[in-house]
Amino acid sequence: MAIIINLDVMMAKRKMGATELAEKIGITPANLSILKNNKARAIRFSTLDAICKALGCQPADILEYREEE
Amino acid sequence: MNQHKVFPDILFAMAITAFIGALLLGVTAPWLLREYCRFIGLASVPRGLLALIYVSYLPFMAIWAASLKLCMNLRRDIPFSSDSISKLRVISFCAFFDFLVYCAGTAIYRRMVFFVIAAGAFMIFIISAIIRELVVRGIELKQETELTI
Repeated sequence: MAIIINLDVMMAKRKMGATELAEKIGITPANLSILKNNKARAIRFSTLDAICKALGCQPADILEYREEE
Repeated sequence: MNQHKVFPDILFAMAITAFIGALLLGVTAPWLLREYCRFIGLASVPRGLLALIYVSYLPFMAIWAASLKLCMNLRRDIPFSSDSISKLRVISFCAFFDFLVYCAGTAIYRRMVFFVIAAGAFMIFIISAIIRELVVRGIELKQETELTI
């Protein structure tokens, strides 16, 4: 998919672990791993809202459009 | 919710009963055929008729076995799985094979009522093919939902 989720970068910037973030946004670590590894087909606005709140960032800091080769 | 769990059990029981009944039919086919031919006024069983019955019997049993597996998938709450698709493919393939066998049978043994069975087999082929497509779409939807975080 052409949409990339750069969750790792923001998590490293905020020095936040996967378990802590999963707890804060209310999803399971397994689902967070699906998001981090770009395996997700879609993301709910509520999840995006919770991530932005937990990491103190904008959706654009997490989502990136990269043209497929 | 309760009906959701009871109905697959009833279906499974019916499928098991039908499977056993079909096994018995297979064993007693020569005798039943002889009696049927006598009933419709034939002096003896036409040549090759028993062979034709047994050629169609194997796919018929495969259909029942696949139906049993589908019922088991329903009971285990995994109707939308790749196993269900393969079983529906078996059912549609075998039904189509039986349709061809009975079409040939209608042409060869004109006095028999094979046309009805051929039409039935063709219906099973169409219906199972449609259900298979529905299950494929169902699996896609399920994956879509599961991968929406």
